[in-house]
Amino acid sequence: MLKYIFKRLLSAVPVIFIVGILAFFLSRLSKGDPARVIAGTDATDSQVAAIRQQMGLDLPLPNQLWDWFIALLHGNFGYSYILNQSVSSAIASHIFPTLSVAIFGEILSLAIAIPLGILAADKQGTFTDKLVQGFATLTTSMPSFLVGLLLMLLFATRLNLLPVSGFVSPTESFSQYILHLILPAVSVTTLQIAIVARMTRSSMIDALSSDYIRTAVAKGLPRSQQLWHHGFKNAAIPVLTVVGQSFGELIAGSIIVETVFDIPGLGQLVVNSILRRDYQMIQGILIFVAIVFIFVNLITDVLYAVIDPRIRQESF
Amino acid sequence: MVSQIDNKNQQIDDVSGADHVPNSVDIDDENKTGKRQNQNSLWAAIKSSPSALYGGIFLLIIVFACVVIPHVMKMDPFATKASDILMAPSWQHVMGADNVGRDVFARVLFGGESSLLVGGSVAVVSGVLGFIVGAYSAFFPKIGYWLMRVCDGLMAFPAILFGIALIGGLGQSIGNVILALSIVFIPYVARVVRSATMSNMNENYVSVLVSLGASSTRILWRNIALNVIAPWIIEVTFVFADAILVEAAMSFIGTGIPQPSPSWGNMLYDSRTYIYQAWWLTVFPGVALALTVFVINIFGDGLREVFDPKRRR
Amino acid sequence: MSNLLEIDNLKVGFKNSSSQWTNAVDGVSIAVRPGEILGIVGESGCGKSVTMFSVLKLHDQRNTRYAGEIRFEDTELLTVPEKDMRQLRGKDIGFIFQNPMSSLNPLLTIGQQIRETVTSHRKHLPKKEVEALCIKALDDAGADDSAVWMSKYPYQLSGGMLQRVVIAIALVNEPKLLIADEPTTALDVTIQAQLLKVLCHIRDERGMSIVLITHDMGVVAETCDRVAVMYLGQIVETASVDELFANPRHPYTQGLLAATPPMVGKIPERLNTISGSVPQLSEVAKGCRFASRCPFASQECLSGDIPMFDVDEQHQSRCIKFNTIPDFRKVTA
Repeated sequence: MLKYIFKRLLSAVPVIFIVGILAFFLSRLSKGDPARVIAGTDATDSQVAAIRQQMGLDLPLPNQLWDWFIALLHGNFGYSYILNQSVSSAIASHIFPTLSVAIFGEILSLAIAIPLGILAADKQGTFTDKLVQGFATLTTSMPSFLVGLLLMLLFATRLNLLPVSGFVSPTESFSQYILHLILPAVSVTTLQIAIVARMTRSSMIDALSSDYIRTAVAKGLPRSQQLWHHGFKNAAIPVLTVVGQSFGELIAGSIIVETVFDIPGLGQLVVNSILRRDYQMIQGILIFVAIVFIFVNLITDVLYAVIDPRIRQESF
Repeated sequence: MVSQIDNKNQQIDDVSGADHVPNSVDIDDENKTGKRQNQNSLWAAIKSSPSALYGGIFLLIIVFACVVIPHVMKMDPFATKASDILMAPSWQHVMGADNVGRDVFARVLFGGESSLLVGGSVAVVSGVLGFIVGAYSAFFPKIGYWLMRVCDGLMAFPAILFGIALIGGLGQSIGNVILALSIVFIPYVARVVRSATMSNMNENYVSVLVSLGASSTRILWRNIALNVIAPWIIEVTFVFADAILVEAAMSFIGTGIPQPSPSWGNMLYDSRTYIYQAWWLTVFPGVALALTVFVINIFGDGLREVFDPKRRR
Repeated sequence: MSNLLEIDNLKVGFKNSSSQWTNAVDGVSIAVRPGEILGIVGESGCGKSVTMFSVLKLHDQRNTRYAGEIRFEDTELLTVPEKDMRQLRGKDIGFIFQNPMSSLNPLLTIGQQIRETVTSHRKHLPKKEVEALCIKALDDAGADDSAVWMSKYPYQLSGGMLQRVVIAIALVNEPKLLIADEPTTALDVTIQAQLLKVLCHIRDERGMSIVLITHDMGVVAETCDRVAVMYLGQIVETASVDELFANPRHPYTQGLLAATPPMVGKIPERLNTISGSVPQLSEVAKGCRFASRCPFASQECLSGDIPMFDVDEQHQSRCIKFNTIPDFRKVTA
């Protein structure tokens, strides 16, 4: 098992490497001289040159790339000269609300999508199934911020049931923290529910038509046990793949949705950085999210092995 | 054991490429019937799939409404009228007027035009480049391995964030939005094309054809291509829909189509401020966006049914 | 002695993709007596598995319809509520499937898969007793190291071993009836013989009834007490094994026997085959279903549906010429 995990970790290295190179070229993409932008329009040439040297921009490109990697390996995602703050510390101070929304959204999506997908597969071809499928197609057409706005429209002007903006720290009031997360989490997760439910349905249908399910029926197991213990366990791997990918999408989604609900998270940092033209910050955040994405994929790989003894076996 | 591992990877490949890759084998059809009859049977298949038919019809209606109507009717999405500020829907403004008194209907249609332009261009550009990358990496496995790792790297960036960062580097304009999103979506198309090509190269019928003495170009173009082009077209349809969604999200946070040009995303952003007073500012662009993407998705699902009746269920 | 299982005029229909119904089983009546091994033979697609799957209602409920009666002890199975049906499955009636490799869940250990068969029917049994029952069932099914097997996953065992596991699952609740659907077809010959021995042994030890579905006349001769021959959704002949092999009274049975190497004596230089192929169910015409392939068919065979005729009290044949068709040894000679 440990060997398997190690192998997976190793296989992530080239991807991280390539992500680093891509991000590096992305950061060199912008037209104009970043040093001049930072120094301001009325800076002298020597001031600009000093900044260039400080940023390492005077070095040859391969050296810059090398430095960039060394910095990345130290967990340094760059430095914002506009905020005069390292990207990692800016991310650290904004990550909590974003992660809260994303994780809460993930929990909601799993809790709703998987039973829904299993239900649709069990009732394949019936009205219930068509309803679930229709819901899935409809919600895959709605971006998270649109769902957020529509929920806001409904809750702010009609229902007055839930808070529609802001963020409350859990140390301040845990119940308020949860209440403020509900609408943003629902907004980011609607699309993911559809994707996960669809995948659960189709891979459950494959599992349910297998011989071992027939055996489970002939053994006299209760339907719920047939579905979950035998069916879903076998259907879980493709579902897990989608869930792993969805977490990255949830973080990206919450960055957008934060704008709708005025949540002071990474999204606010991104939007403000856009307004400030602080591209170092945006690229730093981009790499950070990519690394989170790769990391989550690693976790799903490990979970494959937990579920399937045959995958566990392959490493020995 | 090996086959199981392959199988798992195959599944993941399939999944990540937005959806399943159909795998129909139509050698007989292709050889016995003439080209003309093939076209007829394709038309029959389209007719037999209501999703493809109605999705296609509604898509054409939307394109017509957004691209032709506003120009023929000489609508002006920029004309402001102080007396109409935040006017509710009426005969004068069927979708109401916005915070500076512009006609929401005209803006929704013009916004649709840019959304369709962005989505369509991205679908074409990333579709063509993705096909080349995918097919190339399937035929040359060594280079293919690294091309696919680059694609993995690109796909590790969430589409929206990647788009934002690219726009940051390139500068904000509709052309750059298209360029940025094309780069974002190339790996998705490439992956589908690669896995379809590779799985078709391994299919038994290819070796049967080889043993029957078919020439290699013939094999490629008359058989494999058929089974690669179908999933490719389906994937491109979904890229079309996705690109519209991502463009809207980018415009929503201010990095997409630059103001004051209308786009569904930036209209929705503006609507947020007036959400308590003017529901029509949120509802109409929102419905237009969701409806368009919905119709394209239905059309894509329909195409999948047309190309691969086996998976219909 | 009353019968354990009685199937009376059973019809099982399936709906195809264009919503048309076809009867895969058309008026099957058969009884299983306590303690006997009943063989059901026929070519693939003749409805033998469909008939026995219906006993546990294992067909997809959405596109299957049943008519007739299936009585197990005092219960009418076709109308029993799903909840009670579930209690019968795996407890009073055990089922052994054809392909052991795919019949077991690849992600659960053998132990988990046997244990749940016990615990889902007897919730409050102490863990130790459950374990003991599982080990005993595996031992009875011929496992050489039951305790070790319990912790294995299916991919770690061979096909023959897995079929023993499947038998153990069917046995573990000591059912009164065991249905074995071609239990040895997917396995190689030496293991076939071992498993058939296991089944006979279980019957002798526990006195349960066994229905053995097979297409192999050799298997029937070796294991069964009575046999029913099926053709195209109908039973065409039933008799005790000795009687059937000595005096087959249906041309189809004769054909099957002629296609099987004899158990004793010299193996003929060439075995006979039944000419023609099995017609589609949807093409079945009036009259005898075997008529199109039958060497003795005449006009009267097509005039109407053929009932079962008594050859004697224990021997029935669905052939109007059961009395006049020649003895098959002479036909093949």
